Amino acid sequence: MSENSSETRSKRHMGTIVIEGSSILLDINHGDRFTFARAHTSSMVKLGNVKCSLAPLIGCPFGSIFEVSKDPKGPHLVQVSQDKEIQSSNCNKTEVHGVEELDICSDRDNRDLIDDNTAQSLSELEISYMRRDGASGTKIVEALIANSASFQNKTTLSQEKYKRKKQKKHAPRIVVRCPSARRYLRMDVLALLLSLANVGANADVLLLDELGGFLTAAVGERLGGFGTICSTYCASKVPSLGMLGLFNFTPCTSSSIFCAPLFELIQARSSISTAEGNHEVSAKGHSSTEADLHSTVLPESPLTALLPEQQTKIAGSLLDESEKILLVKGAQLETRMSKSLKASLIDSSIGFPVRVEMAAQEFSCSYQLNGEIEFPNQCTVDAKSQLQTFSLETDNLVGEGSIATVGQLDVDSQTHQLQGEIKNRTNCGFKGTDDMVHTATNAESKHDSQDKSLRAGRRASANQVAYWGRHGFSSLIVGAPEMDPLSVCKRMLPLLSPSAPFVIYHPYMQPLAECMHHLRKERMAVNLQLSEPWLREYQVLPSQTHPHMQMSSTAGFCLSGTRTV
Amino acid sequence: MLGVPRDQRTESAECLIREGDVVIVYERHDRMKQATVCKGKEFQNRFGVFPYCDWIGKPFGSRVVGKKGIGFVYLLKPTPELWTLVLSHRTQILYVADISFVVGFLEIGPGKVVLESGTGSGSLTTSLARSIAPLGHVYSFDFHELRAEAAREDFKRNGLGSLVTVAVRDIQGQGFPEDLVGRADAVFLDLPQPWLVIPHLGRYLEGNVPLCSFSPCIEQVQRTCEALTSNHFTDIRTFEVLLRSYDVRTQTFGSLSMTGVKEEIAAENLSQVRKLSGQKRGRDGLKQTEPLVMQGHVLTTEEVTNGKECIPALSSSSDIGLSKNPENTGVERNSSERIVARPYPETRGHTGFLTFARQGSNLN
Repeated sequence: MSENSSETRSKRHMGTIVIEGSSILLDINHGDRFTFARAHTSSMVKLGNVKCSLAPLIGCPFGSIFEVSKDPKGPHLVQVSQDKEIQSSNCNKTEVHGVEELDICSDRDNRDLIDDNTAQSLSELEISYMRRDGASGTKIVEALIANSASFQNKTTLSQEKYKRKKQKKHAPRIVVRCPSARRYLRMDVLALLLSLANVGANADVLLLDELGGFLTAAVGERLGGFGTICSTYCASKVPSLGMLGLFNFTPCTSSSIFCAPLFELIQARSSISTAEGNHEVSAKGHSSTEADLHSTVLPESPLTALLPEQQTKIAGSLLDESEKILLVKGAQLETRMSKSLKASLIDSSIGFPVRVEMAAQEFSCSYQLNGEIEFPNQCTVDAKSQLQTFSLETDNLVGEGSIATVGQLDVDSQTHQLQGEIKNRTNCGFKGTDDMVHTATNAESKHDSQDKSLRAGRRASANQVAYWGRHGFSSLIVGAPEMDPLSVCKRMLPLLSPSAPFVIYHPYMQPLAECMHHLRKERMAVNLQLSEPWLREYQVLPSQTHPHMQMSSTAGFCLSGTRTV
Repeated sequence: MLGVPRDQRTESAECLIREGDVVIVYERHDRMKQATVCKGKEFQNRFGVFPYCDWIGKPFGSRVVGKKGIGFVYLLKPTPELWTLVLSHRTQILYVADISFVVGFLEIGPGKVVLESGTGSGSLTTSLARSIAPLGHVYSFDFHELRAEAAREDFKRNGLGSLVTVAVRDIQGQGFPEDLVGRADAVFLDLPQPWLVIPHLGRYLEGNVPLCSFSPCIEQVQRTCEALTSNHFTDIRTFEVLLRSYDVRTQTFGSLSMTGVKEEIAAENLSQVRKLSGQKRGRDGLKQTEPLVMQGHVLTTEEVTNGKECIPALSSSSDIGLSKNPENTGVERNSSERIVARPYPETRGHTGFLTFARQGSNLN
């Protein structure tokens, strides 16, 4: 707080100007149309019937206004000042908002107006000639006003509307805005969800987001990286959270957003004492108990177990005999080296890149899995066998479908022998044999791109899930219009820590009413409230103040409450 | 009140009630109070007497019973939303509909610096503090010294002392302090005459910083918007937000028989239920749940307390046996209990208008 003001200002500007490569929101004609775009020199936008490059936008502050300007090189965007008004000698006043202009008391009205399209003497052809000759949109609008027989007799307000309409058609404007989640759901509803769910620093927010990912984005924005977000899902395939990429999240924020299947969270919560309840753990020769796993301190340099350029063999069965899954023949696994540099906010675990090569004799194709071995917060060192236990997790490696490979590996710090078991999860799988040999090396490769290893919405590790199972989430937000709220509550409220707030958004009221009734009956929650947010915007102008003509009648309902023990 | 970073968390701090904690005491729907746990003292309400030492060590979210088993309440962990409903009103306050909209529209988040005038009872301030934690700050101003002090104490009790600075200052007359120029990420005004301050806000809002002004009267809003326009503010928008709350209950509806006679059976059952349940009324705030036996079938009655009335309602579980009751032959299943919702007739109406604006961005 003791920084000087210019430093602060420039720091703030960093978040308020268009940076090359970032995602921006184009507000075309003041709310007529919104599009996302990337601020590259090569990006184009279509305005009216011309295409313009977005290059002039780079470096400008958000809120800047641009208009199309013609010149011999082709149409391009120029920044305009918002004070720039269309000058017209026919305009009967000087100040739009001056108190002197009382439209209601003016002596003009529309009693003589005949709406038969003959008022404008400028023809379409003449207008197109003007355009061809390079006249700016503004000039065209001024010419239209000058050639309109009825303009003089219009009321002030009517003249303004006329000008605005012509301007939108002939001189469309773009305002460059910072993408923000509040543009998707009606903004008051989204804001209400975030407040009712007490989304704030160091929260662990559980989300059932079936609204395309923007609920997750909104919570991500509000947490700013301080805390964790688990966007859960109940389908077998991970829902796409692609929208998260449009919000220019910092790596800190991105890294706080996870996804995890609901069954995993439920399992972890119901077996609070077992952290690896979801994984097949059979560490051969490993004698520590699960309780130990959480009682020891992270070794100072866990990487010493795997020295650079050292081949480490893993022996052991790939899968349980009972769990054989078929490989899609010929599937090539993508190799991707990613150095994982986890920010200190996450889970205190240090990621480490490991290249695991598996030779599949049965199918005679060799493939490599690249991923991260996460060293859990506490891992145990068995004095006798000097084994260190790590959990292995790799994600999203394959071209088709997604493979999550999880398992547990024990590394003998003396012989550098790795052994353990790996299990495949979800769609694509492979058939294991007992003779698969796995080699592990560590690779000190550079960042492929930090984004990928810390991308928003990546799968939560076993440790993370276990943590949430032990402590519970601090709040829940549900945005699933096609799910029955009561069913969702029954399964998900137990995942919350006691006295945690929750809010369920639904487009229909009746399912929420039924859910509320049952929650009350079963005493699962108190402070239950079924609310419908209402929003109305006003036009405030001298003697012209009234609510907007267009209004949103409804934007859904929210059921909020606090979980009781 | 605020979340604690993971590496500083301990089981007890997060979940269990300790001496000195601020607790939200939930008595029933629409009735909550704040309490500070103090060993040796007691919390009293119309339902019973509750010694604080019984609460210590229990997790938040627990239901506790009063002395001699009389009465019960739920103990909730404070959040800014609950705090708004239990704080002592020294002034008219903002409620969650306006608060959430302001925080959302001003894009307030971790690390931001917010200027607020006036502090009032600290309702909005508490939510602002939650949103800017842990690295941001709220500079709040009020011209009333005693109220400023009361607000300071509230923030301290809720663990927000390091995030909020309350100063006594007449913003309308003097403007914001010089040392805050260029440091704000958002400004909120709740003043009787905000148009007096607006011409002097330019320096504080440089860099596309958003401003919000809250005024109950439309005349105030008009003068504010005029001042904003003539001082070259842009994106001026005025809104009104409200929350419509729904009353959810169960109700039986009559139906007509083939001959056009109103089926009275359901109503009869209902009065029977009422009679029986009357005997089982407990002395707690919430009525007891008791099984009833009628004609050999077990019915579960339950009284759902909401709003000002209590309505005995039949459970919608399938063991209701209503249709099997000999008295009820011919009654369709759908003439019995239904879960219905309608808005509360009495509801919080207008609070104020919210006007947002930004200082125009400078062209290079």
